[in-house]
Amino acid sequence: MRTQLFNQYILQHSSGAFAMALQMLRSREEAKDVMQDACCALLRQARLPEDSQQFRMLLYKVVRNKAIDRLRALKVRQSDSFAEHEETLALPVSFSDGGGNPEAQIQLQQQMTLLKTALSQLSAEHRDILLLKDWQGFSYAEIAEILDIEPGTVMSRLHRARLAIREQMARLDEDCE
Amino acid sequence: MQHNCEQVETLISGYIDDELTQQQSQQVFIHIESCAKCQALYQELKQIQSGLAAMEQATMKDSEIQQLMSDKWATTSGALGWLLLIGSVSLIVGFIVVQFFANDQLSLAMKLFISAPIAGVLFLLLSVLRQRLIARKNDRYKGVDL
Repeated sequence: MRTQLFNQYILQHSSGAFAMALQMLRSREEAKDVMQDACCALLRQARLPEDSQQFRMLLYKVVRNKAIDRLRALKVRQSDSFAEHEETLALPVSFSDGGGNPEAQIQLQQQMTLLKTALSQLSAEHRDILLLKDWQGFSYAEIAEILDIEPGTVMSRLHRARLAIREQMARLDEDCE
Repeated sequence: MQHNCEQVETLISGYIDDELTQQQSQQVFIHIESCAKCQALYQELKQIQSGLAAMEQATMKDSEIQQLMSDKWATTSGALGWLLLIGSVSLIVGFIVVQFFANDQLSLAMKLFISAPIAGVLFLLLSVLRQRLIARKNDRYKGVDL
């Protein structure tokens, strides 16, 4: 029963957690290793959450901690090399929606490139919280649990992260002109 | 108005994410309707949020996910391997020690003289092992000690 539930939840949530690990580690192989470690660690837990959303939160927390361990070992968490790995930040879904105005699409593509570059230049603290909220869709309470911070800190940190990425985008935009 | 802007600004992210109380939400709504600066900030942050939400997520292949779930054998066999190795080495070492001390051809002083450096190395190894185990136990990222 326990294994069955574990397998079901892993099938449901592993892709998102893998995407997050890949964002942090920038290497598919390393991200896969981290996922493997995380699964083994979860299986060693005496009790696993029976609720799907609780399990998802725990999975992200374990994957994030394992990825931090790995980064510490590899010592590669440098923002400047982040942008070089295009596989980690793929194009937005909307680009493949054919039709529409080509000019608008080019503009949208430029905006997304700007967003990706700005994101790659943020501090790890700001990038992680933005990805957990806006990319993975966690609630503030869940983010507090995953990042091990006070729930009251989430909104202010997230707001600072959004202001930071906005400022970075403006700076990059100025440089382009 | 300036004071109000400062108060409202920190709540704008909460408003975008629908994480405010009804009262706070209303406060932000009323303010951004009448303040062009905060309205512009709200629109910009909302656009950033939609941009990030639209980013495609890298996925794992089905076979890779299956591998995640089926690798329990690897951990079990690993543990079994260690158990067998430690058990058999302990038996061999124990046997040698018994044979050595049961040997009548060597005097007790000679036996102690030979075994002292070996025991010294063994104690050093044990103290390193103990330190490593303590460090591992206190590592906040070990396993899932959450």
